[in-house]
Amino acid sequence: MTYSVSQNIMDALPKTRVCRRTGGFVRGSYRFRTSISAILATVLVAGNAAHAQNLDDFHDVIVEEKAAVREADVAFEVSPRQFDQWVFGGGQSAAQGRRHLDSLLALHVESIDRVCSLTDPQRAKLELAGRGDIKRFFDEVEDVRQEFMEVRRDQQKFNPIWQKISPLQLKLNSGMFQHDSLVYKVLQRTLESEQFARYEDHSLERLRFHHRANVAMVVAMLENGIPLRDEQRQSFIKLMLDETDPPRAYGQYGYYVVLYQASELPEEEVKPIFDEGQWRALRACFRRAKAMEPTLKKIKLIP
Amino acid sequence: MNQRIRLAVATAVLFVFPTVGFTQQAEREKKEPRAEIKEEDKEAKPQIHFPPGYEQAAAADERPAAAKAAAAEAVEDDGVEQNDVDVFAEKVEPNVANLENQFLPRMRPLLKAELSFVKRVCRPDRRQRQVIAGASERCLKVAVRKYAMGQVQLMGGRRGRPSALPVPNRLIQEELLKVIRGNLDPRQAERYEQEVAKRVASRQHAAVLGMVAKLDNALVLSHKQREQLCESLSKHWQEPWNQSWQMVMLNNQYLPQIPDKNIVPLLNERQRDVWRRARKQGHIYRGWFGNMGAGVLDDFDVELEVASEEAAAAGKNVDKEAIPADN
Repeated sequence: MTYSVSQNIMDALPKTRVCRRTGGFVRGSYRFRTSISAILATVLVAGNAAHAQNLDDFHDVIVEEKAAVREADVAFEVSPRQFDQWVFGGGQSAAQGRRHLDSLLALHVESIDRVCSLTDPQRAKLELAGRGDIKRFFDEVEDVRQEFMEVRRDQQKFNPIWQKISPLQLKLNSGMFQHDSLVYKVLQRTLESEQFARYEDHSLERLRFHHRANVAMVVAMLENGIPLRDEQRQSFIKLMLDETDPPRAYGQYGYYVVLYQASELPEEEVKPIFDEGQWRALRACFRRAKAMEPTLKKIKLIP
Repeated sequence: MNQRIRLAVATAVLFVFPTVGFTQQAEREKKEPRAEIKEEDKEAKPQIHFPPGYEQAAAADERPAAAKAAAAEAVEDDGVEQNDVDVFAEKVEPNVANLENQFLPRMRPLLKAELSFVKRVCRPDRRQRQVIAGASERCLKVAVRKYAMGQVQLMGGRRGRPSALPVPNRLIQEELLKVIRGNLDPRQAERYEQEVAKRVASRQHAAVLGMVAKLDNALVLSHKQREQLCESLSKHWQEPWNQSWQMVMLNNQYLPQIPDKNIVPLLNERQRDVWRRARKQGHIYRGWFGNMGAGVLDDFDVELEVASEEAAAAGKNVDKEAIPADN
């Protein structure tokens, strides 16, 4: 008896029903969990609750509670706060996200200044353009948020909204002030040609560093399944650094860009590095990388 | 009514739950009495305890019966003393056994890849290959046991808790190296040791580059700062940084936890301010199993090798595609 009642309690206790693929909490369960905490606090203070119910009554009560929880679970709902966490990540609110972007803009302008020795008017124009980029981003966020608010209680219509949140994440994480930004356009128009050449060199050097990191990490990861001799490793890394281009932006897709580009290299250049068994295993990876082509094109990481 | 319900739930939580724990514990102990090390056991030779899952591991050994028999014969003198695998001396806790069941199939491809690599680097003869093949299953089980125990210690908050989980393929390499040292020519063992050391160094370098790239995204570093940070992180390398690899690779929002003393002196005022406010995440223990969908090198097959050699001697072709590397 003790066991079965307890099982019922276990079943009735907070169920954090998580939305598939997104991890959003459902409000009904959260409310129930909060109420449990409040009750516990009350009982601890009062200290006389032990004889409130006999176990038979208690069983009926638990059945009722379970039904209530099930009813709440049926109502699909994703919290508005969850939207910000998806877009800005790391549990950040929109306000925190904005502060982060303001800091990033300041760091970015400072970095350009270090390389190009900006004049005050140039600096002011860049800061203005950067604020424009941030505003443009938040306008997009608000548009998607509106759509999110309309479907956040509708599981059927909810999945497509994820397709719109994902590009916002990508934009935020791959560098807000890259080639399609207002900052870049102002740089082209405002800097002297010699300043701009220095900026381009600096940007390219930075992208190359990220590319070098991506290549090294991809090779290390591949070696979990296909260990290489040092000589092979060095040759493969050199080939990829020499024959592939840095991606147009930073971020998680950089690894897929590396693999995709490696898969596009002429076989006669890559195959001689590996022996027959290694090459067969590597081809499986290249096939998967080629399948990423439409996605990488869609997000403009490859031409 | 509502108040009554809440009161009842609270009562149950306070007074019934504790008994459930004991009831379930008692029921469990009826079925599986708690493992206690008897005095005579302590004196005896360490017993190898095979937890659930090792039977499955044996079933997963798909070598032909003849190869298994040959390997079993060869492994009788594989140069590895039982004391080397003293992780088997203690009776295993149920949570360790459960983890072993999870990790055994995930670490088996790492073993296959490593054996194939040993073949390439050490070029063992037929007898040596049989010894290595025969000992490999035990190497895997020891590596899995160590990994599972490391995980339990790490999550359990025990005294002497390790700072990081061991890297799975390094555990396998260590165990294989014992077999290689005991059975192969010292020059063969040295070649393998050197290659393993270079692979470890290469992965560490890649992890440093990856972390600095993450920091560059967040702090917009100069060229000089990037180089200085690479140097600083390499010099003050911490083993837990090996754990967060997949997060560094695949999660844009992940910023690794790095001691301030290794980074702050290299930053300017504004960068320091951003670093101070940035939300850093602790080490994420994801293990080291994935390889981005690549196939697993798996051609350490003694029987197939022998068939290939014999066929070559007879002037016939052997279907090398039969070697299952492209999975």
